[in-house]
Order: sequence, then structure tokens, then C-alpha cells
Amino acid sequence: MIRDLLRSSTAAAVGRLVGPAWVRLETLGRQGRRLLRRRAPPASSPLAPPLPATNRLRELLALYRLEGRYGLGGRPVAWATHGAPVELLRAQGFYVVLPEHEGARCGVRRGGGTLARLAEQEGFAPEVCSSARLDLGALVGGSPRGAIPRPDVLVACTNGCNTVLYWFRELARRTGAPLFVLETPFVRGQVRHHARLYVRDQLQGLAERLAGIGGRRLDPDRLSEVLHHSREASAGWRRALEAARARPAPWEAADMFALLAPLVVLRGEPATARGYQQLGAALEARSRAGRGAVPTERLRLLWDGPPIWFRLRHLSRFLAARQVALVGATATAVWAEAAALLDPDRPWLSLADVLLQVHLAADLRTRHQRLATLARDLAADGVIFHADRSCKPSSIGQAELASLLGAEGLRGLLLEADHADERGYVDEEIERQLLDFLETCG
Amino acid sequence: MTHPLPLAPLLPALDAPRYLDEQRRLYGRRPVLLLPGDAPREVLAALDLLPVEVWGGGEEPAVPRCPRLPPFVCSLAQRQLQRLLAAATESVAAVVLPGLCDTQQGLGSLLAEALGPSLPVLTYDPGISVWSPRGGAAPEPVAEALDPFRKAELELFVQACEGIAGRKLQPERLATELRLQEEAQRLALALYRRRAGLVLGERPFGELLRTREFLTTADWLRRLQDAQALVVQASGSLPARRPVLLSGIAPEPMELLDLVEAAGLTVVGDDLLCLGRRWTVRARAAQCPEGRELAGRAQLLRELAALPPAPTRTGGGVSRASWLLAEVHRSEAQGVLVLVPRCCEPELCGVPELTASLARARVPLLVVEHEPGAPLAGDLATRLTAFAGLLSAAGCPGGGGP
Repeated sequence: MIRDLLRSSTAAAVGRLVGPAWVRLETLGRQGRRLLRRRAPPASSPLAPPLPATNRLRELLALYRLEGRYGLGGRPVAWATHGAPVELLRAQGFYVVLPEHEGARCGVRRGGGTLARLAEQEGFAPEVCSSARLDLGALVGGSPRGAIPRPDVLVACTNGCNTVLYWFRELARRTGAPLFVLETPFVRGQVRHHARLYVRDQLQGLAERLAGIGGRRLDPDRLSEVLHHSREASAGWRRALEAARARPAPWEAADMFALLAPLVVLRGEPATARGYQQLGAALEARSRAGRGAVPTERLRLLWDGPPIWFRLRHLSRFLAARQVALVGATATAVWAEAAALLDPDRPWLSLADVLLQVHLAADLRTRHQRLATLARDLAADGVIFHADRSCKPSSIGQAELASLLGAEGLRGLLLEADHADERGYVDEEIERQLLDFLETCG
Repeated sequence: MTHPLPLAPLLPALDAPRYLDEQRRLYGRRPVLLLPGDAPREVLAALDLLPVEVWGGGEEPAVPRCPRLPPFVCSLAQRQLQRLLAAATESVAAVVLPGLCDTQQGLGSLLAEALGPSLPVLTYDPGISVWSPRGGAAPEPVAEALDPFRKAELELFVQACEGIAGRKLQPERLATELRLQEEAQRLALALYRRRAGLVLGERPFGELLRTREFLTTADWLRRLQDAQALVVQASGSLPARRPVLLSGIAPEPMELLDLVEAAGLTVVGDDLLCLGRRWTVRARAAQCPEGRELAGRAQLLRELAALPPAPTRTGGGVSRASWLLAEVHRSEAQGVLVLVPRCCEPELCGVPELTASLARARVPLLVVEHEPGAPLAGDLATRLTAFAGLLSAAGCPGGGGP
């Protein structure tokens, strides 16, 4: 009992006092370092400096990680896929870890190859998705991303791909935590009603199982509240993305990818919703002031497929130096669609709709429509298709998409790489292809 | 020593294109092309349509303006795509896309666009595999939600097939088809059990079983019965071969089986997606309560739910390993040979767990990556021979083959 009391007091102290102060100090330190760099001789970036509003969202994530490390206070932990119903887990009191997101962080730091190699030594073929290999490598060899709390339960939703299922089964085998699977059928055209019911029934069954593990039965009011915050966050995200319609666009895809993380991990929290509303407002203010992420923007491009995490900023700077702005990405835009789908008054079916309408699980025609709409809304001149060796669902059909959009006057470039495994990536090759493409764009 | 005989002198040779043509002319059965996976082909057959499976083997047809898949996705898929688009110009009634892996889903999406309204593209999603043996673990939430989903999928599939056939599905025809399927599966399993006495080489035997990919069930059954008659007639001293269980997708190219034979191995059971992985008689016996008599669509649903665990239907690693181990014991195989098409993520993901499980059970395993349509790797014969050597060194008595 004393131990429980100590644990909950530590959690409260970390959550309310130490954590925010520590994160704020770290932010100040980062800003200070940035100022010092600006005084240094001109390694001037062709990209405008990031908005202060982005700090708030980064702080949310940092604080959340801190809580996971020191302030759980006996809270149950769920590891989930990025497309899993985080709202349901949150409503039932779980601390949620998304291994894929942690993998992306390693990828940004160029640690992907090392971790992937560890998984390969365990028998996972290099053809298997690098997110899975990275995560399994981190589990085997210790993660450079720091300690993350061990899971009490694993939840895998197949709306991104089926690979997550094999990946999470391996996690279940290695951690001993029970795994629950949510299967979402592939969507061709409209979502069929029996598919919605199938997902709804699974969600309700999952809630019962989670109650057995976390010790808290689902409170319907709490679920509605979480869904409300999630919808608000998604609406804030949509507002932020729509700000990129301005010319020059006030932000670009590298920031979009980086700032998507709180929405993926922390949707359902009121602070997350506020953070995105603030971001949207700040971006609108920036565009009203006529300031752009690429101040001398000449060409506007879209990005299709996962980002190349370890060269995310580099590629943005490379393009910006040539007055090219990545003004949108399909993988970030799809997260704004939840705003129109989530309905706190119909929690189960609306959550099922969100799970079913993730970009990767869509057919070619739907992907084409989404891309064409995005291109029109953002007045894009072309699309860079990242043919991600790891992400088969995303890569299959990109050549056809490029051809379909080409017929509509939109230029496309297929760029083969991997989103997290930096081995085999050669800057010069990729830059040569980009330069050739930009030449065709005029 | 008696050498394995090719199939041709023993059984009437089969010319698949001619067979399809005859089926169309004589019985009015139009072919329906099936992509790999678990589709209720009995429905098609009961409607007098002819299910023809597309695995990507054989010559690669030249198709102008064929969509290209990225080079890093499953090598079977590109060949299937070309084959299906080539077939679209022939008198094919429809294409069926069963839910399988991510690549096949994407392939289906491409096909639906490429074929357009000229050829109906039907879908069928069998749902996730939640296979567990009797007395196994408590079902996941997904297991409880599956039945209504599968039922709705089947109903929609039947409706679509009825639209193509232009007639209603007769319950008695479906029952007949299901009975024939079961009879044929049992006979195929019996042939595996009597493999030692069946004077057929590995490749002819594989070809015999794979005629299921385009024959009507009645014709497939007839050919199996013909082969069974040969078992009785055949005699002679048999060379010692090491019996193995063959798993994976499909032995493409079929020359793979020549190498298996040359290495001194014989296949005494299979867990191939193109064959035994879709035979329900064994899995159903292991999974379902005895004595439940079902008929028609209810029976078909039970069959589809009883498909054994496999990576291609997202079956769990542990349940798959236990299923394979049971098959190893049942077939008296001494080792497991897994054929993985290049870049097949489901199969590749299952390898570490399978390796660990089989190692614990002291069952030797060889995983071979292959590429349909490409020449076989030079070292493959050596690896297979070494595997046969390993089985011998493990002290397993041989004699499982012809």
C-alpha cells in the first residue's frame, strides 16, 4: 500500500510539477541553441524558421514520454498500431505506446539500419517492413529512443496493412502480453455496412477484454468525451493543413509529418485538441502576413507515401533551395478526415468508420480521388511518389496513380527508397532524380 | 531399381487450354479466374461456372500497357497481373479476388481499374484466421464478430455469381459440389499416405494434384481415382527417399520438384496455398465438434472457417507451427521444406517463429526463396541435397518415397 501511495505521488509530481518544468526548460534550451546558430555565419536555411506554436505540440509529446517513464503510477500500458482505436484505450485509462511512432523517431535519428540489422539477425528478412524490423530490433537490442514502459496488452488493427499483425504477434511472443486483433476489411469503393458492423462488434468486444486487463469498465460518457476531443484535434489538424492553400504556403510537409505525431499518439486529450487549434490559428496568421515556409516559393508539390524519416528535413531543404515547397502529403491529409467521421453521439459506428477509412486500406480509385482533390485544393504542380520498399500497400498502384494524374496535367516522380532503413539510401541518386523531375516541371 | 515414371504414359495427358475450350463448348461452362486465396469456388462450380486458378506459372504472356508493380513486391503478383490481363481478351466470365495479403489486395485494385466494366471483378473476404484446435485458447473479440461478417460476404458473393451465371444457386447442386470436394480431398490425402507405393515422380505427382486448379471437381476426382488405381498396379523395389512436408505458396516453377526428387527427397504431405492449405477435411476434424451435420451454405461457411492456420490468412505463428507439427507427425515426414516466393511478406514474417518452433520439436527445416518465372538458383540443388543429408544424419529411417 505504501508502495502504491509512493508510486501515485511520484506520478502526480511528475505529471503536474516536475514534468512541465523540465519540458519547458528543454524547449528554452532548444530555442537558445537555435538563436546561437542564427548568429553563426550563414548556414542559412532556405526554409523559414518553425512557428512557436509547434513548440506546444512538441512539449505535449515530451511530457507524455516523461509520464511513461516516471509517472505512470500503476496505470496499465497498451502498445498499439498507429491505426488502432487509441480513443478506446484512452477512455479505459490505458497509457498508449505506438511502436511505429517510436520507430519513426529512431529513423529520424538514422538509427534504423542498426536496429533493423538486429532483427535480421533474429531471422526477419530484409524484405519485411522496416518499421517492424526496427521495433523488433529495439526490443532485442535495447532502444536508442530510451526506455518505454512494458505492455500489459497489445492491440493491432489491420487498417494500415497486415504486416502489423505479424509484427505484433512477435511482440506478444517476446513480451508475454496478450494481443487483441482488430480486423478491418479492405475497402473497395463505399464501405459496406456489414464491414462497419464487423468492426463495431470487434470494438465492443475489445472494450470488454480491456476492462479485464486494465480493471476499468468503459464509461460511455468518458468515451464520448474522448471522441469529442479527438474530433476537435482532427478538426484543428484539418484547419492547419488547409492553411497550406495560401501562396506561399505557411508550412510544408516536413513539419506536417513531424507535427502529426501528437495527433496519432495523443488524440482524445483536450490539450492535444487545443494544441492543434492554436497551430491552425498561428498558420493562418502567418499566411495573412504573407510569410511562407519557402519564402520564394515557385513550385508546389505533394508527397505520396510515408516520409523518408531520416532525410525528412534534408529533402525539404533541398527542394526549398530550389524554391519548391512540399505543400501537402496524403499520409498527413488522411488524418484530417476523422473530423467529419467521428461522432460522440454514435461512438461505436463512427469509430468503426474512422478505422475503415485509412488511406492505405483504400482502392486505387479512392486513392486517386483523394490525391486529385488534394492537388486541386492546394494548387499543386506535381506529386512525388515515395515508392517505399517497406510499405507494399502504399507502393502498389503508385505508377498507375502517376499515370492517371499525368493525364490530368499533374506531373509525377516515383522515388524508390525506404521510410526508416537508411541502408542503401544514396543522397546523390535521389537528388539527381529530383533535379531531373524539377527540370520537367519547368 | 524402378525409376519414377512421368505422369503422361500413365494417365491421359491434359491440355489445359483444350480442356477449358471443351468445357465451354460441350457444357457451357465459362471460366472464372481466381486469384490466390480462399474463395468459395464450390459456389462457382454449382452455378456451372468453371473456377480456374491463376498462380503465375508458365510462360509470361506479353500484354501491351500492362501496369507494372514495384520490383520489391511479391514476384508472383506481376506474373498474375499479366496473365489476368491477357485472359481478359479471352472469353472469361469474371475474375475473383479473394482477400489474402496486402499485395494481392493492391493487385486486385489495379485489376479492377485495368479491366474496367468489360469484365466483372468479384471480391470475397474470408476474414482473419482465428483457427484454434478444440480446447484451445479463448477466442479473441474478432472471433466473435466473424460469423455475421463471413455470412454477409458469402451472401454477396453468391448474389454476384448468380448475376454472372444468370441463374439461382440450387442448394442440392451446392451440396453435391461440397460432397465431391470432400471426397476428392480425402483421396488426395490418401495418395499422399500411399506415396511410397505410387510410382510417380515428384513433379508428375505435383502436377496431378495441381490439376485441381482448372478441372471440375468431378474430373479432378476422376484423375485422382485413376492415379489410385496405379498405386495398386505399381510394384518394384523402391529407392530410399527422405519424406518431407512441403509448405509455402506454390512450387513455381515446377522444376523445383525435379530438384527435390534429385536430392533424394519425397513430398508426403503439403501445406501449400495452392493445395493442402485449402483442404478443409483435416482442419475441420481438428477444430469442430463432431456430429454436427450442416448443409448448403451453412456447411460451406463451416468449411471456410475451418481452413487451417497459415501466414497467408494472417494465422498466428504459434498455431501455424502447431498445425504444421501435427501434419509432420500425421504424414510421418522427417523434415519441412518451405518455399517462399521472393518478397512474400506473410511467409517471410512467419519464418522466425516457425524456425524456433520446429527447432524445439527437433524437426529439420529448410526455407527456400524462389522466383516464379526465373531460372532456379544454382545453389538450390546443393541446399536440397544437404538437407536430405541432414535428415539422413539425424538418423531418420528413409523409405518414404518411390
